[in-house]
Amino acid sequence: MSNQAQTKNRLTISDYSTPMIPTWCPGCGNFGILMALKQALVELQIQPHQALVVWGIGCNSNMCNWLNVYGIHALHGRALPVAAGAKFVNPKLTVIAIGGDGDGYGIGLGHFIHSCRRNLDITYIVHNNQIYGLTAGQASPTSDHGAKTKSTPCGVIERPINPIALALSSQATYIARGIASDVAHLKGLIMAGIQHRGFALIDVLQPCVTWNKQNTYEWVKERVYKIEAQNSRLKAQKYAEEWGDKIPVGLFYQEERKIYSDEFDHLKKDECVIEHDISQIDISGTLEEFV
Amino acid sequence: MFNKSSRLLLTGNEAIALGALKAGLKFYAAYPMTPATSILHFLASHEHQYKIIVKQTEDEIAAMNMVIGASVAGARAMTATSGGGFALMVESLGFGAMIETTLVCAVVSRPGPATGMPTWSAQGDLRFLTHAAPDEFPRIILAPGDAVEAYQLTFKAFNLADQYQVPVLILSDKLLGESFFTVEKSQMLEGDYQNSKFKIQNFNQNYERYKVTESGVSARSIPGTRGHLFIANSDEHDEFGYSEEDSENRVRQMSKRMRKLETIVKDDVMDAPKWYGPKNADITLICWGSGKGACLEVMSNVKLVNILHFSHIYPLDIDRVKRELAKIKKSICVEANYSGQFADYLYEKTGFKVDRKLCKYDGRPWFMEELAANVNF
Repeated sequence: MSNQAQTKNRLTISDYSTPMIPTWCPGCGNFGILMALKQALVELQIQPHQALVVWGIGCNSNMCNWLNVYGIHALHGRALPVAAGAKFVNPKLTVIAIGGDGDGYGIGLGHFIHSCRRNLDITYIVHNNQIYGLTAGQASPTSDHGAKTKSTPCGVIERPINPIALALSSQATYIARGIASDVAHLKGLIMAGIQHRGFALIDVLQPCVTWNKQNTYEWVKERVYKIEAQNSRLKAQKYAEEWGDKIPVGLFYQEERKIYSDEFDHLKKDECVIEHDISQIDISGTLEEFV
Repeated sequence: MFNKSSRLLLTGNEAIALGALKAGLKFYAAYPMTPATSILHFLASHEHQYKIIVKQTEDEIAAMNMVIGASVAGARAMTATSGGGFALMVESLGFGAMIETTLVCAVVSRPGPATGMPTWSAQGDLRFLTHAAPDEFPRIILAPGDAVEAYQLTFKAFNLADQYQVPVLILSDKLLGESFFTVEKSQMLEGDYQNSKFKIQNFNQNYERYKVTESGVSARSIPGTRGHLFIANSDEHDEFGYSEEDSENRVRQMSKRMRKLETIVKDDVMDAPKWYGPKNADITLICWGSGKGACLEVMSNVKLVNILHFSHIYPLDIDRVKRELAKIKKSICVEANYSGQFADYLYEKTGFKVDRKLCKYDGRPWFMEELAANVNF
C-alpha cells in the first residue's frame, strides 16, 4: 500500500488514496461519505498509519480498498467488536468503524447497542441507505413502512429502526446525523466525532441510486433541516423522534463522560497493553493460591 | 514423604488460565457458558496483578471478534466457551483464519446438541472443531489430558498462533476443566516465550502482508507501525490485502494459507502420541484429551494393557502416528461421544482401524470399574 505520507510534512487527500478505483455505482452516496472522511482525516492531520478503520460488509465497506490506512474488512455486522478489541489494547490508534444500515442496525444491532453503553473512544459511521445494496435490493431495518423492495413486494410491514433514538437510549455520548450530499457538513460531524472522547455515532443518509427509488437525493433534500449541538437529552429525544416531512440533521446530543477504559484502576490512562514486556511473565506468586 | 508446598491442587480450567497468563495474555473476552466460565472468573480476578484486560461481552460472536481485533492490534488474546458458544463463533473463526491473525480459543465441551447437559461432560465436539468452517482453512487443535498438559499446551498454543498465524483451538471438556488435579509446582512454571519468527526486519516500501511464501507464513505488521499498512480483509485478497477475485490470485492465496498445515507438521511442533505402560501389551487403549485419566487408572489395575494418548490432534503428523499405531497388537479406542469420533478420525487420516470402540455418551466420565470390565476381546 501507499506509504509516501510519512515523508511529507503536511498530509493531503492523496495520502489517504490507494491505487484502486471505487466500484460503486455512478452517483452513489458513498462517494460523498468517503470524501468527507478523507477531508476530516486531512484536517485533523491523522497519519494513515495511526488510523485503524474497521468495516463490516456491504457496498460501503468495499471502501476498505480505497482508503489508505490500516484497515480491517471484517464480517457482516461485526465491525464494532473488532474495533473494540483493537482499541482496548492500543488506545493510541484512531479507531473508526464503518458499516451500513443492514450491517449495523440489522445483523449487528446487538453490538451497536452495547457499543453505545460501553463508550469506548470509537467513531462509528453508518451509511444508511434504507436498503440492502450489495445483495441487490432487499428491505433493511431502516426501510420506511410500506417500502416496496425485492423481498417485500407488497411493502415493508415492520416499523423502521430509529438509530438516533436507539443510540440516545443506549447512552451513546455523541449522536449525529449527516447527509451524503453535504460533504462539508458531514466532514464537520466526522471530525467532531473523532475528536469526541467516547463512542460517536454518525448516521448518514446515503441515497442508493440503484436499488432505492424512494429515498432519493431529492427526497432527502426536501426534508432535511439543520440543528445545532444539543446537550439536553429531552431536546435530543424530541428531534430524534422527528422523521417524515421533516428530518433533522446535525449533532443531536453530546456528553462528556468517562470512556470505558478510564474506569480501569489497574491501567494508566490510555495505557497500551501491547507495549508491556511479556517475555518473562512470572506466575509463581499466583501458584501459591493453589498450595 | 512429600514436600507439601511443592504440590498444587487446581482444575483444568485454572491450568488453562495459568498457561495463558504465563504466555503473556493481554486481552481475554468471553461470554459466560458452562463449563468454560471459571476461566473467565479466574482471569477477571487476576486482571490487576497481570495488567490484562478481561471483557465479558454481549455474546460469543462479540467475544471472538474482539479477540480478533486485539490480535490484529498486536496483543496475545484469547476467548473460551463451550460447544454452543463455539458454534456462534465459527464464522468469525474463519475470518480470523482468512486474515491470518493469531487467536487462541479454548472449547470446554459438554453434552449437546443445543443446551444439552450443561453441567456434564462429553468429547462430542472433536469433529465439530476439526471441520468448523465455511470452506477450508488451517488451524491447530490441542487436547490436553490433565491439568499439567492444560497449562503447557495453552502456553504452547500462543506460541504456535504467533508462529503460524492460524487459529489455535484448545479442546477440553467439563471433566478436565472442572476436576481437581494434584500437580508438582515445578511443572506449572515451565515454558519459553517464543515470539513470531516472522517479524518484519526492515522497512519495506512495498510491504506485502500476505506475501506468498514457501511456508505459507508472511511477515506481520502491527497497526500503528509506519510504512507497513495493510488491509486485513475478509474478502479474498491479494498480497497487500486488497480485495481480489482473480482466479490465479485465489489459488495462490488459498494454497498459501493451507500450506501452513504442511509447514506445521514439517516443523515438528505436533508432538507424537504418548505411550504409557508396558511396551509389549496385548491390548492398547487409544484415547485423547481427558480420556487419559480413566485409562491410566485401568492400566494400573488390568494386566498387559498400555495406553496411546493423543494431545496434538490437528494437523496429525500422519507418518509418525502410523509408526506408533503399527506397534499395537489389539486396540480399543475409549471416548466420551456417541460414534467414536476420534477412532473414525484416525481411520480417515491413517487408514488404521481400531479393533473396538468404547463410547460413553451419558455425560458421566468413564469410571475405572466399568472401563476395566470392558477391556477384553
